[in-house]
Amino acid sequence: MIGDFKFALRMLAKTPGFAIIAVLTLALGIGANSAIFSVIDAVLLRPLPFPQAEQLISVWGLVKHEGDDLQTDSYPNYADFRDQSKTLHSLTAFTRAGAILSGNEEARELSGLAVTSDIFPVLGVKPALGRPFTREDDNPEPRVVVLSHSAWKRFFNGDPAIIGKQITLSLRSYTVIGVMPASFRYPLDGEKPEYYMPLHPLVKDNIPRRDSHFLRLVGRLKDGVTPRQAELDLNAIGARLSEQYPESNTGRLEKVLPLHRDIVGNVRPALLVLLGAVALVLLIACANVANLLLARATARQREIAIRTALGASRSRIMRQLLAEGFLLALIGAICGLFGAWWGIDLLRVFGPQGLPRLDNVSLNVSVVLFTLAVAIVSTLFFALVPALQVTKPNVNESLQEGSRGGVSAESHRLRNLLVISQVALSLLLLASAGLLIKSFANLRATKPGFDPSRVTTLALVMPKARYPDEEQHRHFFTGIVPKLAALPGVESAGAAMPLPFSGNDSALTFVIAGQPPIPKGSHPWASNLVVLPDYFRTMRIPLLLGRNINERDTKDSPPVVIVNETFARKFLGGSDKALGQRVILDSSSGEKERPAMEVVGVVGSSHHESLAQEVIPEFYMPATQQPERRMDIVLRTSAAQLSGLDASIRKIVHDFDKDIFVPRLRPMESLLSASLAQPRFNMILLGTFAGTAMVLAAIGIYGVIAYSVAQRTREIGIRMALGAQRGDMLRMVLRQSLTIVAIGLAIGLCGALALTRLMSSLLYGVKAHDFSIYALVLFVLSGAAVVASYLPARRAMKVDPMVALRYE
Amino acid sequence: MIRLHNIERSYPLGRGQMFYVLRDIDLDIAAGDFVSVMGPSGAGKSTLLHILGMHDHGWTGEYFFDETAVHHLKSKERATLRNEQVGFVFQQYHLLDDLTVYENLDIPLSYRHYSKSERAALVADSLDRFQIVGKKDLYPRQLSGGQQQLVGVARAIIASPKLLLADEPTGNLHSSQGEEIMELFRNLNEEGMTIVQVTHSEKNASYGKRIVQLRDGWIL
Repeated sequence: MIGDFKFALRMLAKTPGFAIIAVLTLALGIGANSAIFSVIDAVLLRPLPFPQAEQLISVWGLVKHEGDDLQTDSYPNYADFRDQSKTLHSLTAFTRAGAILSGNEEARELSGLAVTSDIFPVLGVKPALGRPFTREDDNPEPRVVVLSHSAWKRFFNGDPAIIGKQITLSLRSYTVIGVMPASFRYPLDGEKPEYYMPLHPLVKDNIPRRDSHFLRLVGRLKDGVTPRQAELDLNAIGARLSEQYPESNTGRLEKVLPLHRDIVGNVRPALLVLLGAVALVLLIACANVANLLLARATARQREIAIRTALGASRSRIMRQLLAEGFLLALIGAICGLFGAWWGIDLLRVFGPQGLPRLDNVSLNVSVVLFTLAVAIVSTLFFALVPALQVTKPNVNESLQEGSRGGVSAESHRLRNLLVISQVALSLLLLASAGLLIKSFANLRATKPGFDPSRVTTLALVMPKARYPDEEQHRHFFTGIVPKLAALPGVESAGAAMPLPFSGNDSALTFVIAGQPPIPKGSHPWASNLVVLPDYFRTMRIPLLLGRNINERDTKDSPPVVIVNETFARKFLGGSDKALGQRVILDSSSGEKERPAMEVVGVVGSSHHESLAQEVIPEFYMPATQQPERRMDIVLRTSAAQLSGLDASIRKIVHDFDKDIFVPRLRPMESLLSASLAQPRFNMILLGTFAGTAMVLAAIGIYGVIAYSVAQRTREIGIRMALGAQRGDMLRMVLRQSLTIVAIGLAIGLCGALALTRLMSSLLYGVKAHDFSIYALVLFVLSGAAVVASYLPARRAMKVDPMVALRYE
Repeated sequence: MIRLHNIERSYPLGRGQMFYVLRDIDLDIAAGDFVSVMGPSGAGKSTLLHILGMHDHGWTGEYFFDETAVHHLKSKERATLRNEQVGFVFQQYHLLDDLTVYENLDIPLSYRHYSKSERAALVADSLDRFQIVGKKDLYPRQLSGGQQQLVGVARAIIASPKLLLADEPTGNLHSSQGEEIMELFRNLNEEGMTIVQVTHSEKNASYGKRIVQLRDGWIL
């Protein structure tokens, strides 16, 4: 065996051109597989980094009459599930939080998680320093916090005596009770929390409200319990709650998902499509190398025939040829791993930040073993068939054929078959990439409903510790926004909460006055925003009917609301009937009925979370009547980059209160762009793979046609001697090539029509069978085939019959 | 019909030196002539034949074909003239291996833009004339050497050229097969076809009306 490898090495060294091309082709195919596998391994295959992670589950609400969207839950529901469940070992609830860390140096904005005390037992982790939360911490006081390892290192220099010390978060003092281990991170998707604090001090007003759904629930199953059993258990509790609290719980079901699936479920189809794509690229690469090997083996037929004549068995020669193939694959795999290493770095930097567990992607033992397995399987793909072909037991014929430098019809057919498969696979990949590109273009072309150009945003939060009253919030935002609007270069300024594409949303249930009564649990809901008057002008959201919110809409004036066109159509019988109707928001249990808000205007609909989602009903309430402690300021400026704007804003805010944190300005366009990160990522990767596939297929076509022209030199010479013109020869070669390509295209088209359906969930505004994409792909691939065939065809045109015939 | 004047063919040897294959060739061939070109290997016989057949373009001098100044024609015009006027017979037959006898005969016609029905009629006539109808569906490898050359000749004249060029047409055949081919040439010549053949054989040369001797590129 070692002898075979030594000989294989010598043979490859003898033909370095062939070896380099084959190794690079394989490196491309194998490297792409390794890189994508490293992502699949980190995201889909590796268990979550918690003990007995398979016992972890997510619990979501599902409201029958509101569609399939999974919903968060309320604290009272959580507490009932936690206390009454017979299938759960423990259950925690949490919501994202944010705070300004001050007191040391410069104030910093920290991302955090507001949690119940069960979180660490549920996840099965303990702080590296200090203690975890206890049930006593599930209270508004005392205020305690657990730091992440990185926050402890970055902001407190890894102070070993941090436990028990006071830190200031959003102007309130908290006692540090623990520091988590460096390896701990939860949640695994989205921004990494820097601190964990009990829920109660942060959202104490919402804690008793059963209709305030803002918590994500994560639990740990008891030993031997399945997620399905837990779901039945929680729904039994839910049914009792529904009877007990019909106003908030009617129609509500609980959906239990394994936590791993819940986290990665959304990205799974895209990753599997990408894995399929790289597998196809590898197949195409293998077909190219198989073609090279066939050409080489044909040239070596005489050598092989002599070996056979000297007594070598077929298996012995097969072993030698396979050793050569495996050596190529192994070197290709090593080069591919280097490529993957580089690719993984690129993925970490340019991959969508929303991709869960992206920072876990690495070149580990699993990836190396996978690469080795791919190398072995590839060897079988590209080396076995040529080896079988040239070791056919027909010594006499081979000797004769070899001496003439001829090629058997079977070998010729095989090479054609390989090209057909390459063209078919390339078409499949190009069609998929084309669909994603068109889908992405559709997303890009989708009007968000507002004009994001030259709009800058920043979120201002008034610390609750210093500004607990609504009146203070009203005063601050109505005072500060006109000052910002007066800054040089600022054309207008407004504010909204929550701002579209900021990652936040809010929805409320309501009834329309005068419409037939609906049971309270079945009230409709709509997305709601609180805005300052110039928000619509700044965002250029058109006012279609009625009036804008203005300075006369105060806390003492009758409540008003502006609805979007979708709201008017869905709930008010159309825009023309909207004005004057009254919207009554549902009140919480125990709360007095809310006053009706009169619809005074209808504005154009705009997207809120994603361009891919349909516009939803929205209503806008004036911030003067519904003040918010946090608002996103929007500024329309005269230029995209206005120098000194951030400093001017900081001065205005700090003139009011130097402790209010002024974050970095973010262009509205970057928020929109971030929402396209995942489709852009899919499109770029699949586009790259499809492009690679097309180039490989073109090389394959070129190789086969060039080889065929070389083999047919004598025939071409005869034809020219018999009167064929150069054009005849060009047509003959192109006809040969395009016949093969046409068969490949036909097969690829059928395959693509069948398989692209699987990626429907990744498409937006384009059908999986979009005619224009298929037409374009056929055109592009045929064009590539013509170019790849034209070069050898030119050689055919230049065959000198005198030389060709004399050579013979 | 053919007038060659001061034809020279040379190849560069490097450092400005040239190797002359043909020197100062003056040759007139009348319509209906049957010329045998003889000479030792390397004398330039085949090169002369390829110049006559307008395959070779690297020569200098004057070449008139039926008063057409070939030396002034562009490559494409020469190809058209060749297709209309010249047929070739090769020593190695040069039949296309993957085509049947019928298809081999059809090929020259397809390059001359005959209609499908005309081609079918001409091929049928040719098969008849050369008595190879029974072999029309066979591949060249299924024929004897003599039969293959018979097909080669049939293919060369199927488009009714005025001039038939033959490069050692019997070189690969045994004597009786060779005689058959030479008899065929004689008959064709008697029917009015102009023939130029290259041969080493005195016997074959005697079928022609005159012999042109070449040595070291010169006509003796």
